[in-house]
Amino acid sequence: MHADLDARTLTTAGWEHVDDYGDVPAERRFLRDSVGIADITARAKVDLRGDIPPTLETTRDSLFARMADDWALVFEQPGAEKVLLPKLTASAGPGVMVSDVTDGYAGFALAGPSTTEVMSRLTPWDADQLRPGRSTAAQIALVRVIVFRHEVTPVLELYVETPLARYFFETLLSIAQRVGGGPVGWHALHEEGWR
Amino acid sequence: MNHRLPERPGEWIRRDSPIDIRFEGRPIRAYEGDTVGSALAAANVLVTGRSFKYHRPRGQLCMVGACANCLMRVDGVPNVRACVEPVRPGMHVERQNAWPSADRDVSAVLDRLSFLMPAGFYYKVFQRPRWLWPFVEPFIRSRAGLGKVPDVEDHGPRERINLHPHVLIVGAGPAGLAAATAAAGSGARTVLLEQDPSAGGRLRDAAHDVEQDRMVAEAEAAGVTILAGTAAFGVFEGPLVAAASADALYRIRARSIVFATGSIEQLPVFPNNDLPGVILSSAAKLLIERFRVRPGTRAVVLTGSEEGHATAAKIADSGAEVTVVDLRLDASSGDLAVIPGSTILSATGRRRVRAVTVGPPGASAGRRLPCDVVVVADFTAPLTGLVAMTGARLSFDVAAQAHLPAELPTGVFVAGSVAGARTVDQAVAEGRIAGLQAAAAAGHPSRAVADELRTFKGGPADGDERVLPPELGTGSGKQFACLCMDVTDKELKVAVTEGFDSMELLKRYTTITMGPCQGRACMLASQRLCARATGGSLATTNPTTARPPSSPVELGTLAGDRLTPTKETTLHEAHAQAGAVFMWSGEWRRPHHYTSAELEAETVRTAVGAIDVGTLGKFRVKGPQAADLLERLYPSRFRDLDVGRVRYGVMLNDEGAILDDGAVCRLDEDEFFVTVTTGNTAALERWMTWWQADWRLDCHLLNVTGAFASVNVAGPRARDVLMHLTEADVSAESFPYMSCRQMDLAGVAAMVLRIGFVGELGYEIHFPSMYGRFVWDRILAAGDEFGIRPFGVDAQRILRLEKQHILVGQDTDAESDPYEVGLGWMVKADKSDFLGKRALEDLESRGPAERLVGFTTDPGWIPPEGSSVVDDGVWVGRVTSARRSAAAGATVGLAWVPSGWAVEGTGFEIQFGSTTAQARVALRPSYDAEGKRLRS
Repeated sequence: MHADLDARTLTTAGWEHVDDYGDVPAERRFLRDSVGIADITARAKVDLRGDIPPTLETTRDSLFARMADDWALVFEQPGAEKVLLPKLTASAGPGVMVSDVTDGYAGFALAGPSTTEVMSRLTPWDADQLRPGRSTAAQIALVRVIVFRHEVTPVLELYVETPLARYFFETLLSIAQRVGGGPVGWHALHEEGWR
Repeated sequence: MNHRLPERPGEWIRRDSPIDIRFEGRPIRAYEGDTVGSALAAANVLVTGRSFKYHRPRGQLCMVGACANCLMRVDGVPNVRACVEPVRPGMHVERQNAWPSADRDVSAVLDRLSFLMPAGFYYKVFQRPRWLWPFVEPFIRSRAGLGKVPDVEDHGPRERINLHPHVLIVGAGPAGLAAATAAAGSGARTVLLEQDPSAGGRLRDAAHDVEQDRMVAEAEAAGVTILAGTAAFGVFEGPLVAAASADALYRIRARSIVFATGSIEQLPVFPNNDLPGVILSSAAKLLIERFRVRPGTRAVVLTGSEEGHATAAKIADSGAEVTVVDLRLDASSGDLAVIPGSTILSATGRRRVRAVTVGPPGASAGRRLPCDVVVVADFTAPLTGLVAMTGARLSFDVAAQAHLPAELPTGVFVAGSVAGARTVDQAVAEGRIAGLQAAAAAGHPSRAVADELRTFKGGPADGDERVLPPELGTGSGKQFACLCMDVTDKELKVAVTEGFDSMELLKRYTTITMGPCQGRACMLASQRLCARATGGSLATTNPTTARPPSSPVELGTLAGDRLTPTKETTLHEAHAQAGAVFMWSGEWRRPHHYTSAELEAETVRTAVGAIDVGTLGKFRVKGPQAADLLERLYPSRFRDLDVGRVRYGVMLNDEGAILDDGAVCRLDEDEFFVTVTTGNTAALERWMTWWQADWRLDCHLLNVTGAFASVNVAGPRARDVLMHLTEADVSAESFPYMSCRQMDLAGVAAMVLRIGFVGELGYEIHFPSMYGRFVWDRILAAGDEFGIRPFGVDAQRILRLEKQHILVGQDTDAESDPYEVGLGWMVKADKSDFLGKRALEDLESRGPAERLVGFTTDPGWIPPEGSSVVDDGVWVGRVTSARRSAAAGATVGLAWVPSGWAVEGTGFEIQFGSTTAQARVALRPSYDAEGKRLRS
């Protein structure tokens, strides 16, 4: 998919991910003026189920997404699952099942002023209601999606089951292009403050 | 003859931008800004089609898209409202419901045969002789409906857009614009819907141009999102407001809603009131002021208000000779001829109006006025349909002579003429208050509400009653209450005498208010005629229940763009590059075959094959009571399963019916890896999670389907392939059948299960899905020297049928139990409890009535799935699967048969259509019945 869009890739912690699609300034314009879609599947993802304590030992860049009283996800930079897994297992205690689900979810970041427009075409759920730093599960484009809103940057991270990756990316992209947006790589996303 | 008037400021057409369209083959000159309707009017095309039932000629009536008089076929698309459809270069416009032409329609004879079609005639006629009905019905069906299904392919994109504003305003007339500006000014995120291409409503009169521009600019400056050309057509629970534009369906959930839907002019009832040339003042004003088309040369204007006189003056200004017929006794009007205290008793003409007879209401005769256009001015009814869908209660308002919204649900507000406002100033004031109140209800209060309420002057004083024309005219000719459905006063009267004596009953019996206008243009006339026929009053005759859609919506818009969630494994690209032909398996795309199923099956039997089984559902179950959970979910035992061992399991529901099957692998004392069938993963996740929560066992369950890619390597050389990929000991002794091992495979951490679905030595390899392509390529490379081939689902079906392995869902149904399918050995009845235990005890004691058995038949025929198993011509069972087996030299399959037939070698007959074949029960697999190859 990305190759068809002339993606240039970088490898981080064994993951090949899109650095840019050949025009970083244009991608930054998507993020500032309309909407950019980035494939962030390479992010580390750890699933916690059970009696999750209120504080957990994590890592510096980890994002903690509380989905329910007994379910949480932790997202981090690519490759961080190797560090996160033992830390979380130790600090969560025996009552919590800690699983590396990095390969289980494909992730996509949406950012830009037209993000709401894209979401409005894919879900009856009101994405604007999700406060920064909060997460939820929602049906988007007819599939179940885990949604996390960044606290610092105006980025919405969407995670779907890996088998739905192509369908979801293509659907997001077609809608984004309809409202004047397009695909962006990690380079542009980082330039706009996403980590 | 061209009726176009000279250029004037305020016109919507651009004369420097001509557009040529075709009308039934002939060219018509229009201008940018014209609608199809205005272009036809300018070209003196008066008849825009034939009516629904009687095929009477009809012409444009409202010019605002509210009635069904100008539904035409445009570029092959039927039922386009010509009066609001913008012209496009080269568009082709045709009239509908007529043959050979709308000017000379053969079916017009039905108008004279109307005595054969009384109210509810389809309930009364063609009952006898009964044999006639099959011949009559297709004819009636062919005549029913309007327009033909398009023969052109639709569509452009049809989006579905969900909006969540704080405040939604429906209708962008003066009240709606004021409400939206006030709401947005209070800080509420506000969306304003307008069905017309631009906002303005009543402000679209040329006299209000400045005001309209100012109000629209104010709304935009306040941050209002104006969706012009977007008609709200329904209100559902929530409330959810549904609206449609040309290319999108909007689903709007607002915290509060203001309905400023306005009012609509009504056509008085008098003989031949449907003649082309009888128009509403909205049409006359738009034609003259905006499209610069003269509606006629001799006009009669029927009114009961000063507004009507203003319209008459505009018509006179267009060069027409005008006579005003005013219901009021004290009416007068400057230079225009006025006939006070009178009404139109009847109209005459064939394909257009030629004259009207005017006289005092109720008079049996009157004065004849020749004319070519009749303009009915300012008899309006509020558009309450949408607000009524919210559950609002309507009550009769004497001043408005209409039912107005009286009790509104929380968060619902009304403003403008739908609430009874008559003047623009009043509508604006009401709109502003409603907007502020709606914003406050949505969490954006403003102190301005109290100020506005203090200064608000309210509606018309008591006694300022709206003047309406009489319910009926006088003279010969049909008097139409409902133009869409061709319902006359006489039909309503007959229906009432037959006992259908309320609006709701009349609606169902006569179809009144059920046409494209959904009662907007005929509700008032229908209510008044119903009241007259029943001896009631307008006050006590409520309008019919409003239901969506209140305005026509294209089916394509309702359907929207189709999204088809599609799942692919991470090996998908590799399969595509290998030439796989894909098939659907639930939401999944799976390779059906790469070359041929037979060749692939043979490769598995003689060498080695690899199949992508990443679609299998996969679960991690972990915790001190993980084994207890599985013990309760399955009828088999799992507490005694050793770490590193695998056991086949069948999951049952409470009734003992088979839900699913798969492998259960013990990874640790407190951890299991469970696989389930491809299509059942989501349902089984819910099922297992639900029971886990109910039993409150100390363990957790995680669906890891997407996290693992899975490949099954099967065949006599499978071990050789594996040995090329790992340093782990995979010998039969170290890694026996039904065991599992964690090992590095091609450098990737993998979990390998030694199990087999196809009856050969096999390894099911699970590994992180992102390494899918990498590992797959390594497996094929390692197997190259052993003749490895990828095989698809179809080859797998041949192979598993040779082994009589069942596919849950394919070979079983919602009632199949383990005893029927030969899996009774899995049921450990001595376990303390498990799902389905009680039911199985009963089932076992009764014994199965039918059995799933293997069969063989002649290799020359493969019975299709669902073929009948027959006994002396009587259906007794069915074939669930069958494939031709090279290994067996026969067609092999599975079939449900009476349990008494489940004896080796029993012969039976299979039938599909006219084809029959003899089959024999085979209780043992046709291939490697002892399972030596699996265990090798």
